[in-house]
Amino acid sequence: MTLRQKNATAEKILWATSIFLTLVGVVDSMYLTYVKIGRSTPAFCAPGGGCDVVNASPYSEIAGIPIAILGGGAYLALLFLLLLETSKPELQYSSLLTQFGINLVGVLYSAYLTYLELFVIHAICPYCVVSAICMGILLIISSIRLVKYPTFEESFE
Amino acid sequence: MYIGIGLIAVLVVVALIQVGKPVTNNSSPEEILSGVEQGINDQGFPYLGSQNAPVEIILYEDYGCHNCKSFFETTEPDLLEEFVANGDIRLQIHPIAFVNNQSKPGAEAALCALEQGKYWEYRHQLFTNQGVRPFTRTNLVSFAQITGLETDVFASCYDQGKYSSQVRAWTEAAKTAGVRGTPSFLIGGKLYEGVLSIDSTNPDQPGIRQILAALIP
Repeated sequence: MTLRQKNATAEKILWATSIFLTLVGVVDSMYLTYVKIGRSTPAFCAPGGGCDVVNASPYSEIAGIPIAILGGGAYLALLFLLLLETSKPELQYSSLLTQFGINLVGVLYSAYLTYLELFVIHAICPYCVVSAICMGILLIISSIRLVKYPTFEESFE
Repeated sequence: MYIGIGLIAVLVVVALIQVGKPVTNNSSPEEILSGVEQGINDQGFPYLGSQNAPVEIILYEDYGCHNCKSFFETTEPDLLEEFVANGDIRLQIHPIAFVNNQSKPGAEAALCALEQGKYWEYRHQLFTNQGVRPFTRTNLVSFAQITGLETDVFASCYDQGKYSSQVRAWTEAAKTAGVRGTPSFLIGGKLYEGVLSIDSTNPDQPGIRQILAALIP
């Protein structure tokens, strides 16, 4: 296998991993949206904490929009950009830059939410942790793909 | 290019954090409590409002609970102004501790402040500092100083765990009464869970005005 073939294989693995993590994020956000809207949990604190408590907190919305919906939107946007790379290879670099930006916002905001869970709400929602981990790995992957872009460039051509 | 994206990302996150912050009430305890009668009932629970008020609201609250802080900041000032000050409601507080590691120190410290007649002012400090300054002994004594308590007496009360068994007993009594979380409200014999608002359009959680309409003829 030539170096170029190896690079192409590595790029495809990273792309496929990104697709997988993005799908995990979409499903995760859908569940959290269901917890927020579907169950109509009262805004109260219960012993033991968990997703109900976190999702019932005043920090779970931005301007009245549940954070879970905003997170789901971010994952769907990432999914769209990843798929765009295959259909429009000429837009790959722009797509990668946008993914990197979304991932960076996602990771920074997830860090803030994790701080709130640990030190303000005093309850941990495992599904929020899953989302934070997915966003973190996606940021690492998009960073690698951006740095390696010149060698990966022809992977989808 | 990457620095630019990084800066934009930071700005976006700062904006999201600012927009997402809950609305807070910056009124001082003196402003909130002015003109409102206060006292302690036979069982030792602090209350605000007239003893002749036709309706009593029992509020089960935990000083480690962010939703109790949310009620304190959003609904309570309007509740005091609109219903308690004019004698329609008496608000009785049952401080309990079962949510997290801030709950017990907060409740015990609040009762030490009650002993010196500054419960409501100290409670204001607890909620204002919740999530900002943890309820360590040093911070709790500092809140006492800010509130104008005799700090030596307060520190001695807190260190001895004078109200530890009291808080435990009230917490157990709340559980027996069916309280599963905080804030919970006992109004007219019915338990309501979560942050109540004055007016509500949520059929699952009526507002205080709607609840009162059914109780006050």
